Amino acid sequence: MESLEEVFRLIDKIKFGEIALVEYRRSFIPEFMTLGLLYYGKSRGLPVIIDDNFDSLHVIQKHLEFLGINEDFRDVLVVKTGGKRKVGNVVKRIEFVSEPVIYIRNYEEEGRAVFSQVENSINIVLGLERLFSFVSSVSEFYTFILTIQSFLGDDRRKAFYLVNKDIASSIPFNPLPELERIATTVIEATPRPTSGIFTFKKSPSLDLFGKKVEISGGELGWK
Amino acid sequence: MEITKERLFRLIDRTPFGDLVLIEDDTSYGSVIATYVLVKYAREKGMKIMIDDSLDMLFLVKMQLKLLGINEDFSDVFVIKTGGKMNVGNVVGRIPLEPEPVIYLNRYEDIANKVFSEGKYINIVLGFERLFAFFQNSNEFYTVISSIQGFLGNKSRKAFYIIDKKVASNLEFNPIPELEEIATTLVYLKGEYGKGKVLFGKTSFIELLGKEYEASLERILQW
Repeated sequence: MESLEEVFRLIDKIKFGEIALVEYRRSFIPEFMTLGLLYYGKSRGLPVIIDDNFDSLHVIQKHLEFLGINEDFRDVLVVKTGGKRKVGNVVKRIEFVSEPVIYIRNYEEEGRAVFSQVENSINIVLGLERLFSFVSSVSEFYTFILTIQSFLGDDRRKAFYLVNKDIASSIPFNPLPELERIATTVIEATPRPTSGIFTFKKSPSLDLFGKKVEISGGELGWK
Repeated sequence: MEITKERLFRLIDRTPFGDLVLIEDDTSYGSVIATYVLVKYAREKGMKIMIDDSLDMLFLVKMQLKLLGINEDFSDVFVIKTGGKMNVGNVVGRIPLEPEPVIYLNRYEDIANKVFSEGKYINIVLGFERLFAFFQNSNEFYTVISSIQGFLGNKSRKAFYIIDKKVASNLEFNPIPELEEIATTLVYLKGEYGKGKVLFGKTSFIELLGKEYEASLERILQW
């Protein structure tokens, strides 16, 4: 079992410009992961930007409350797409239009504007699989994929895409094989009753590649 | 047995012009490393390099290499680009994604034959599986397959088709079985956590068959 600070030192080794894909199955992994990254940002003095697609952050906040952890995310910059429940400091609202190509153009213009105002940031992307479920053609699918990969190497951010593996692999255009290839770090998160095990299945840092860590929920305030 | 630079380069030396080598990647960084090694080989031997870049795959390779600590701009590489918008290398031809493969192939063959008429090349084909994602019927699929067959025996090139196995296997028209049939040499990249294995499924060098070669990411990055 690793302490929070030990895990933070591993997150330090994930480089700016990377896309880290975190794959999980039904559990409170996204709740604890989001909270952990928020604490990480605070401890390292890095702003946290959350891409909140379709009220995912609202669900996370309510789940944390249910677990006895009150977090209002007021220090988090939120770029919100779809949904109607505002959580955190919503700095940009991007209207979701079911035409992915138009949506992506909006996101690229307005989302990049948010990133350009911040020097170095931790970026958490929630609910990406829901966006992909609106994709209705190969051409739309690759417009999305190429946009995501174009953020690779943008060293103003260290990005974490939290994706539910079961949901992603059951939608008609399953994004997982392409996301796993695009991501430079792939972390598999496995829940235990009161902890989570994280395995680095892919990493450009040779000392992280293959590493396995276990974090107890108690480290993040779960009593 | 470990695969060394000398052993591998000798093998590429002995691969005749006109051959089609299919590299099936089932690892994290296999495709990126294979591209890096082939470019390195061509440079050391003073050979020209041509990369077929479908849907911004070369950009992805460049960025992932950067995060692996290798700065490579591919400026001396001739690139024929299909779809995508991130230019990497010396782009000598650009083909928009056509809904009609026949039109696409005519354009591609015109440009490729012009490039190949000017010398001998190491030809690396990247992101072919992304192109195959767009095919909607057997007619389109086999039009492209037969065009690939047409390049077989072309003495201007040693061709290396690098395919991501997970992405290709997820497609409606998975090109791997047909490409395995067409290829003169078949290479599998397997393994995990940076400890790769190279196996030969098909080769004219019988001493390679049935053997498993170790290829460590850490060592290859120092070649």
